[in-house]
Amino acid sequence: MKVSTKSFPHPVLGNEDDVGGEFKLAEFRYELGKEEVVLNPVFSLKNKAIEDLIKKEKASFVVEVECRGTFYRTSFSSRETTSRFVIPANRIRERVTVGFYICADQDIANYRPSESHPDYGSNAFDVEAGDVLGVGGYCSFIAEKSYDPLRPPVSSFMSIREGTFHEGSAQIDYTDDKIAIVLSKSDWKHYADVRGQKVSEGMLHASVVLPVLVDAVYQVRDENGYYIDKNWHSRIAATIEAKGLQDKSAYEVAQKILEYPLDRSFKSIEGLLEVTEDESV
Amino acid sequence: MSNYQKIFKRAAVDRMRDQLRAGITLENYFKEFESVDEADCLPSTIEVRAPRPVLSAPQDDPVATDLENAIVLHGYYPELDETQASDPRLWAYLSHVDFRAYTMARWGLDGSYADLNDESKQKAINYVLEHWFTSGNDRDLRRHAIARLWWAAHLTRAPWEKDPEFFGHLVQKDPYHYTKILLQTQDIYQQVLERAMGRSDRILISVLDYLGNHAEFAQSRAKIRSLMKELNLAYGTRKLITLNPEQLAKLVEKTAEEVSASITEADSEVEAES
Repeated sequence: MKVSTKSFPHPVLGNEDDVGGEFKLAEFRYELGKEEVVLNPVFSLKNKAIEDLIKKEKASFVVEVECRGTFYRTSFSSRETTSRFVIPANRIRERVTVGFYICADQDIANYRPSESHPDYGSNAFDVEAGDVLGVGGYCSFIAEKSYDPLRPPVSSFMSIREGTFHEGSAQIDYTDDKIAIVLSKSDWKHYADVRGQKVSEGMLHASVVLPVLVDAVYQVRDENGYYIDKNWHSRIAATIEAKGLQDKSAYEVAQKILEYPLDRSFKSIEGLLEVTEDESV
Repeated sequence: MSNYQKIFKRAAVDRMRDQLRAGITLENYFKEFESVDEADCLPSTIEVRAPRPVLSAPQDDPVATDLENAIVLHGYYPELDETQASDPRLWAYLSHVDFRAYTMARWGLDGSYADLNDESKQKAINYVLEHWFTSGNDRDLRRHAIARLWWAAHLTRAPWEKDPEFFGHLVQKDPYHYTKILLQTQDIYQQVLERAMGRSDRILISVLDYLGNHAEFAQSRAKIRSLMKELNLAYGTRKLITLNPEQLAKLVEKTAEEVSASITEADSEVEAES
């Protein structure tokens, strides 16, 4: 869960230390169905004044859903801490961002949130319908029904291609939906000979894919990154979150996503050495 | 007679884009006809009927037919859903094959390949990538030669049918009433849809409704740009998307009036001259 802080014209719960108490997402589950995508947020709210506003139907929990791939932006409102919202599955694809807020349902004169920061003194504020009273952060998920974020095929965010140059260093192209590792024509020929063979998979992952994925993880973690709107970016980010790897180093993350390519590579090499020794006997 | 719309295979789109980036195929984008390898294509589940419409782009004013093309194209693909309509394989096929003549006329390259130097080659490559390909985000869909037309119609066609509770009071005889306002000028299309707020049909239609009822305001690029900028700023602290139709319409009107008051006659004259 990420929270962005900003300057509001009135104190906002969850925005730095504007207001004491708590507004956060206690739990968030989503279900990807063939026809529908269901969002199940559970909110935790501790602030007397805002709790009262919700009870008096002057404010609501708001879930804002946005999908940059399909021109989709909508919001759902509820006054319950546990809710269920349904989106038609065909309205969204790839990365979907979900923001969590508490908003005023009507104009409120002399709004004075409880436990507001001493800097606000005894000031009261006139808020308007729609004004944000609490921010609970945002998160994202991948709306692809056939895609399991816990076991993503590497091919869903990375591909290896033949370049237009004959020899020289392989290159990385981050500008498309998938990261492309672009091999020289010479390297591609060798790659084409060995790809798809069980014995070469671990070695290819360790030597070709792993270093690129390490770099990609750094790109994903760069908050001001250049590739934030790319599908590979959101898939890797979702995988890191789904596997609980947020606190691991980029090198460790990449190894876990690829399911320990070094170990598989060493085993393949051992296997090849054994074959060679057998042949030499 | 019904048939199924062909699309490119993903690998073919990747290859076409790579070859264009490397400049290998740039010359082909000056040709009216380019043969397609059937092995690069596959049928989709999108049912279409013959004959396929012809999109027009008069040489003297190719922009003038955006509206009629949008309506014709949307009518030809009425069942396309949002997921299908954001697939890069479909739009690449339509711009390169089915509607190539239109794409050449409206979003083609000027001059001849032989006249290009290194710098203008790179510009030409970027231009073709922008208008002949998409990569899965709505910025690309707004700029793609064919996708932009379909989406313009789709996002604005009969909103009262899609969301009767919110737009019930806006019923018009013409289902494409709001498409006409959106495509009335390039400025409206760009300023309204280029903002993230344009993803909300509620905000989009509310703004278009205001522009439709205030012709003078809708003629001013500076005013439309300021209106969208101000609404965008407001969105930062106020979730306009949660407002009811009346509240949203009032807010758009109030913001537009403030914008009109702040943009002086002198500004309008400068705009007219530019």
